Amino acid sequence: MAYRRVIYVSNTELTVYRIGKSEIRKDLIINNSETGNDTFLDYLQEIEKTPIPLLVDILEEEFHLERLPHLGRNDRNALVSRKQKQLVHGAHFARNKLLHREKTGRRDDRILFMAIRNEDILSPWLKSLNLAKIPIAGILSVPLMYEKLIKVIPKTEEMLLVTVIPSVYQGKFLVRQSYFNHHQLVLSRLNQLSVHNPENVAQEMAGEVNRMRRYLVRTYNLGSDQIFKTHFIAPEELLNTLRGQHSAPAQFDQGYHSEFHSVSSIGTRLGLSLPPGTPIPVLVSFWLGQKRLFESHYKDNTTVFYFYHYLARRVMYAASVLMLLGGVSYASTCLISAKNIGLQAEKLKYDIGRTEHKLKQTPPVESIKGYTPIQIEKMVQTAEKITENIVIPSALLDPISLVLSRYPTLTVESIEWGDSVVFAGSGNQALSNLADPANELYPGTGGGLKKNPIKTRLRGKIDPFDGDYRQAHLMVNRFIIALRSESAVQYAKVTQFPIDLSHQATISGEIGNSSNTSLKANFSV
Amino acid sequence: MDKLKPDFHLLRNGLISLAVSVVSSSIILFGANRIEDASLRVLEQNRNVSTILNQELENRIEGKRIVDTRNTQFLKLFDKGVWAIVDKLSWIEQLKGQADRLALPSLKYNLDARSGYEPVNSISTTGLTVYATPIFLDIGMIHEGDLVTLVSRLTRARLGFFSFDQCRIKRNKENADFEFDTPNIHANCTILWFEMEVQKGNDPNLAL
Repeated sequence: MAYRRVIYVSNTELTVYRIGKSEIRKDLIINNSETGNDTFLDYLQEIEKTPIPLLVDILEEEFHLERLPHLGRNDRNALVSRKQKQLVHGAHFARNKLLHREKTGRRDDRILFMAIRNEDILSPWLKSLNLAKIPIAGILSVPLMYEKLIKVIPKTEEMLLVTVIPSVYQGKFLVRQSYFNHHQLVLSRLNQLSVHNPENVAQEMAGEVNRMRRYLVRTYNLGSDQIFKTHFIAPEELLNTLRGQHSAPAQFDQGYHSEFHSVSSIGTRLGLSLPPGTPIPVLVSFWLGQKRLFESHYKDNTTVFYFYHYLARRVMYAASVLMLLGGVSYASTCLISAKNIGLQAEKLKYDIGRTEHKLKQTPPVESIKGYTPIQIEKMVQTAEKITENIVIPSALLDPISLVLSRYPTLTVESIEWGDSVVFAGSGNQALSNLADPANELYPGTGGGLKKNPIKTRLRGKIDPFDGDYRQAHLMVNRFIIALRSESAVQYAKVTQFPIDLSHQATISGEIGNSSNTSLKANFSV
Repeated sequence: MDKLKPDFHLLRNGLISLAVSVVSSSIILFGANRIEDASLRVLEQNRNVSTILNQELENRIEGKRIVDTRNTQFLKLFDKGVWAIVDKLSWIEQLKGQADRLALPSLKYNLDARSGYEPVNSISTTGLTVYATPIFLDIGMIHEGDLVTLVSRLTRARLGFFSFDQCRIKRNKENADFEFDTPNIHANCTILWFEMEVQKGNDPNLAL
């Protein structure tokens, strides 16, 4: 959005331009006087309080180009500050600008110092602006604005720009000569010509230009044999006169190359539609208004006070809008999320309805004997585990009794079972071996023992015993084989025969009729 | 003009707009959050209800399955008195009664202190604790069949689960004389009497 108004301040007058989309018109033009200030204040109080930039084009604006040693940031700031005090001491509006660093020699920094020497020209206007609480967008130096404007003119790295401004109140011509190096302003001077007649302007202006050239040569900004490129910008009528008089070579020193540009042609290159005869202040004001540059060449707290208010207000408006937008967008997210959650809740509600329907069709299982089904499950499982370890005497005694009934001469003296029963020798080891499913030593065991086998020891004797140990031995063996054939018996072995026939054993006895009654045939299984 | 003091008259509109924006945004955010929270609450409520109902349905289905598969077994065990509440006095009464009925020459008993039955407890995660009470019996019998009869009668006496864990049966004399007050066979047995206790606090499933 463009500035609605631009104020152009010269030594003699103040002009307020009103900027439109494609047009510019003078809203107010007043001379530099006390009555002018009152008129200005009245005018300001009538207009809206939008930011207005001030373009300053006055004689009292000084430019000094200095070489300073290239230093570190802090040292350079101190040096520049000290230099600025020396050059423009006491100037309220002053600034400096680092142009570039030289490429040869000591490689010094080239710094341009600028200042407005006579504040009295600006102060009344600034006071009126502050009284009317108009935000000042910036105080802009017209020569510095030319830096941007000359970019539309080709091959202007090093040139002298001469702008001719007719003064409305005094009827005299003002000539500003601005020298640019590498598109940067190096020096600028404003002169008021003493002549009123355009025909005499060229002659006086030529003298000023020659003086400028000599100064530039003397200050080593221009070589003595260097072609001095000069571009003239002026309204068409004046330009034609200048162009005609310029053809007379006597006006200028040797080594000049001059080009002439009308204000309207420069305007066209800048994209601005300006009628022929437009003076340069209109061009600069129009361009600034359209570009809306947020910069100020000169400023202090007073000048920016209401502009900061304006910015603060804008920031607050922007923050308000952002906050509202943020709130609305976050709220939208929440509402979308709430809608999705609501859909999930609805789906769950539907599922709940289905589950309730299923529940109606599936009546609860009543507790049985005071126990819930889950408890019953656990209890039965536990009971099964206990059952695996339960020993019922009849389960042990029945198969033994069954086999014994077939051997009436075998008399049982004792039966024992439980953990206390330990087999002598390799008996326990034999049980362990049988636990291996691959062990096929004993058919009918399925290659291994059943779960939780019970170790049982049976002690007995052959009664009556006639002393036939061979027969007794055979009978015990048959008994064992019969036991093994019982399905309830996992494993059986004889731990003690009626007589020990091993090579290590000692056998003793008595042979005779009376001795038969004392013979015993004990065995253990 | 006081340079240090901002002109609130100029900032008034900005401040008002900022305040209105803050209030409006807060109301909008608060309202939207409330709506979202309410939706979340409803969702959470429905989730809880759904979880409870689904759990209930699963329990019923599982209960039905258990009843279908386990009920017969459970009732059979129940009839055997496995789950009946038995105390030591019942055992003493039964032992005394059965000894009299069988006319056992002698029967000495000793009911020891109850302790956890680790062979089952150590591998069980069912929420039940199995306890075993050792009962030491010294039985003087006329005939070895007396032991089988005694066991059979004790089993029918609904004394719960028990196991003749260890036993030593020994003949007293060479030749039995079958006198009623003189035991021919002596049996020293250790019975393990099992009891099961439901640990309701430990297993939420058992509390159903």
